[in-house]
Amino acid sequence: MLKKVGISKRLSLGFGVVILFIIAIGTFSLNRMEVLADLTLKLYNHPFQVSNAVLEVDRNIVSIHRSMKDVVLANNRAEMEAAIEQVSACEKKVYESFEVIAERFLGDSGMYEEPLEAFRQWKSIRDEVIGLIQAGEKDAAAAITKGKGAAHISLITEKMRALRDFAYSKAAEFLGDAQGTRARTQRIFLSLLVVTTLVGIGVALSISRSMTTRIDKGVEVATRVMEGDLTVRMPDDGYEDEIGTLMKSFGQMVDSLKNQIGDIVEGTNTLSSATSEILASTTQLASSAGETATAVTQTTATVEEVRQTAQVSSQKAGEVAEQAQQTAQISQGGRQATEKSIAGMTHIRTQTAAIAESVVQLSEQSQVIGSIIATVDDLAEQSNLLAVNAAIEATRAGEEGKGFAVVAEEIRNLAEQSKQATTQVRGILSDIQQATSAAVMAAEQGSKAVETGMEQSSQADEAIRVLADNVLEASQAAVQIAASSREQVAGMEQVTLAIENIKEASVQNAASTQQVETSARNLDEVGQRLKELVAQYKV
Amino acid sequence: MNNRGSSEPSRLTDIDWQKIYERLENTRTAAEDGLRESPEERRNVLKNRARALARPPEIENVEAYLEVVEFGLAGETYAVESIYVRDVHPLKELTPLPCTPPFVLGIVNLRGQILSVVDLKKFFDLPEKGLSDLDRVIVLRAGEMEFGVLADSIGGARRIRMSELQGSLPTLTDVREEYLKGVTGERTVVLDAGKLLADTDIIVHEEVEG
Repeated sequence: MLKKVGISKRLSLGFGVVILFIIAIGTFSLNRMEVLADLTLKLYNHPFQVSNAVLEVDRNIVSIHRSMKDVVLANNRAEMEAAIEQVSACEKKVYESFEVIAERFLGDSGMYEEPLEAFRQWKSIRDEVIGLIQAGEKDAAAAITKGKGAAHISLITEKMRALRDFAYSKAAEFLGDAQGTRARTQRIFLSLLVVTTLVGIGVALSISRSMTTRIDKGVEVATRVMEGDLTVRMPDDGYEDEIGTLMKSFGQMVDSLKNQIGDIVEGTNTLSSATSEILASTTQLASSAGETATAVTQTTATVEEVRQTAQVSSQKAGEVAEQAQQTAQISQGGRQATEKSIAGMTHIRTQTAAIAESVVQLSEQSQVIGSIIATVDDLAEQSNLLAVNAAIEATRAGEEGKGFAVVAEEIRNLAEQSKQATTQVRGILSDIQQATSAAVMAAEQGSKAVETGMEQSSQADEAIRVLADNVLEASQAAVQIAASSREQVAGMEQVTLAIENIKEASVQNAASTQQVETSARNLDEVGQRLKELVAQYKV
Repeated sequence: MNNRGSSEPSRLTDIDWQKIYERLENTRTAAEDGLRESPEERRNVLKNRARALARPPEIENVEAYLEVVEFGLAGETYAVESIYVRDVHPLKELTPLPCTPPFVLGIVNLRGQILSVVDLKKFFDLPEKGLSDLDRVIVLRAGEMEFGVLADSIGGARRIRMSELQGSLPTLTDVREEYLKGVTGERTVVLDAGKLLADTDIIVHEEVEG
C-alpha cells in the first residue's frame, strides 16, 4: 500500500511520525514543566506567601504592641490619636495578611482561625486599654497591656509560629515533589527522546531506501542505455509515486529512443540505397545529356524546314483568299441574274394565268352564246312548227290560202335558215370551245414550262448560292490557313529559341549532374558514418 | 382566237402581234356590222320578198298534187296528207296510261285538250332502228277521231306530185301495205292517214284483256 503513496506523502508521513513524537515529548515536557511551575506557584502561593503573611502578622503585631505602648505613653490626645491611628493601620494590615493566609493556607482552617480569633480578642483588650488610657488610667492600661495583652500576644505568636512551621513543612513537601517530578521527567524525557530518535532514524532509512533502490535501478538502466543497449527494460515494481512515474517515463523514453534509433537505422539504410540509386541516375543523366545534344541539332534543322514550309503555305492561302473574293463577286452577279430570270418567269406565269383566265372567260361567253343559240334554235323550231301549222291551215283554206301558203313557206324557209345558222354557230362554238381548251392547255403547259424554268432557275440560284458559300468557306479556311501558317512560322521561331535554351540547359544539366554526383558521394559517406554510429546501439 | 401558232414552239419568237391585232379588229368590226344590217340590205330583202309574194301562183293541176306534211321518224322520212293534220306541236308532258296497248304512249294536254298519243313504230311493228327524239306531236283528225302521232322532226308542208308516188315494195318499207299511200323518189313514205284514223284497232276499248 505504501508503494502507491507519493514520496512527499511518505516523507510527510515519516516526518509526521517524528513530529508526533517530538510533540509528544514536548507536550510531556510542557506538562511536567506545568507541574513544576504549578508546584512552584503553589510553593509561592502557599508556604511562601503564608510564611510572609505570618511574618507580616508578627511584625504588625509587634507594631501594634509598640503603638499600644505609644498609646499608653502618649502625652496628649494627639499623640494618642496618632498611635491609635497607627494601631488601626497595623490592624488592617494584619487582617489583610490573615485574609491572605485564609486564602492560601493548605492546612486545616482551624490553624489560622484560632490566631485570628485571638487577634480579634486582642482588639477588645486593646480597646479596653485605650479606654482606660482615655480614662486616664494608664497604669491599669499598662497592667492590662503587660498582662493580658502580652499573654494574648504570645498566644497569637505561637499560633502564628505553628502556622509558619506548617507552611515550612509544606514548602519542604513541595520541594520534594518538585525534585521527584524533575527526576521522573528527566527519565521519561530521555527515553522518549531515544525512542523518537530511533523512530526518526527508522523512518528516514525506510524512506530513503524506498527511493534510492529504485533510483539506483534507474541509474543502472541509464548506464546500460549509455553503453548502447536499448533493449533494457524498466521493471514495474508497482510503485506509483513520483519516482515510479519517473521510472516509467524513463522507461518510455528508452522505448522511444529505441524506436527512433530503429527508425534512424532504417533511414540510414534507405539513405544508402537511395544514394546508390542517385549515383546510378546521375550516370544515366550524363549519358542522356549527350543524346539530348544530338537530338537538339536534328530538331533545329527540322524546325527550319517546317518554318519555310509554313511560309509557303501562308502565301498560297493568301492567293486562295483572293481567288475566293473574286469568285464571290461573280457568284453574286450570277445570283442576281437568276433572280431576274425568276422574276421574269414569274411575270410570264402571271401573264399566262391572265391569258388562261381570259380564254376561260371567252369560253364562258361562248357558253352564253350557246345558250342563246339554243334559244334561237328553239325559236326557229317553233317558227317552223308555226309555219307548218300555217301551211296546213292554208291548205285547208284552199284557194284563198295560197297566198298565205307562200308566206308560211317563207316563214318556214326563214326558220330553216335560222336553224342552219344556229347549227353553223354551234359548229363554230364547238370550234371555239376546242380552241379555248387548246389555248388553256397551251397556257397550262406554258405555265408548267415556266414553273419548270423557275424551278431550274431557283436550282441554278441555289447551286450558285451553295457554290458561293463553299467558295466563301474555302476563302475563310484559306484565311485561317494563312493565319495559322503565320502562327506556325512564329511558333517555329519560338521553337528554335527554345531549342537553344534546351541546349544551354543540357550543358547546365551536365554540370549539375557532376555536382549531384559529388553530393551523392558525400551523402553516401555520411550514410556510412551514420550506420557506424547506430551500429553500437542494440535494438 | 384563231391563233394556233402558240402551240408550236418554233413560232414563239415569230409571233406577229401586229397581224393578230389587225385580225382581231377585223373580226370585231365584222361582228358589229353583222349584227346591224345596213338599210340597203333590208331594202333588198323586202324587195325580194315582195316580188315573191307578187308572183302569181302557178296554176297547176290540183289533182296532180298532194298536200302533205313531212316528218321524220327513226331515221326515215314519212308524210301524211295535210287535210288530216290538224296541227303540229312540240311534245310536252306526255303522261303514260296503264292498261293500254303498247302503241299507245299516253296522253298529252294540248291547249286544254286531252289527246292520246300513238307511237307509229309500235303500231306498224317497225323495228326500233335509229335514234328517236320523239319530241313532236302531229295531231291527226278525221271527224270525231283525233289523236296525236309522235315524230322526231317536222319537215314541213309540201306538195307532192301524185305521179311521183310509187307503189310500195314490201322490201322498201316495213309498214303494212294497207296504210301506205306510196313512196316518193326521195324515199318519203306517204302514209294513208285516213285509213289510220278509221282503223278500229286503234280504238282502245275499255275492257282489258287478260
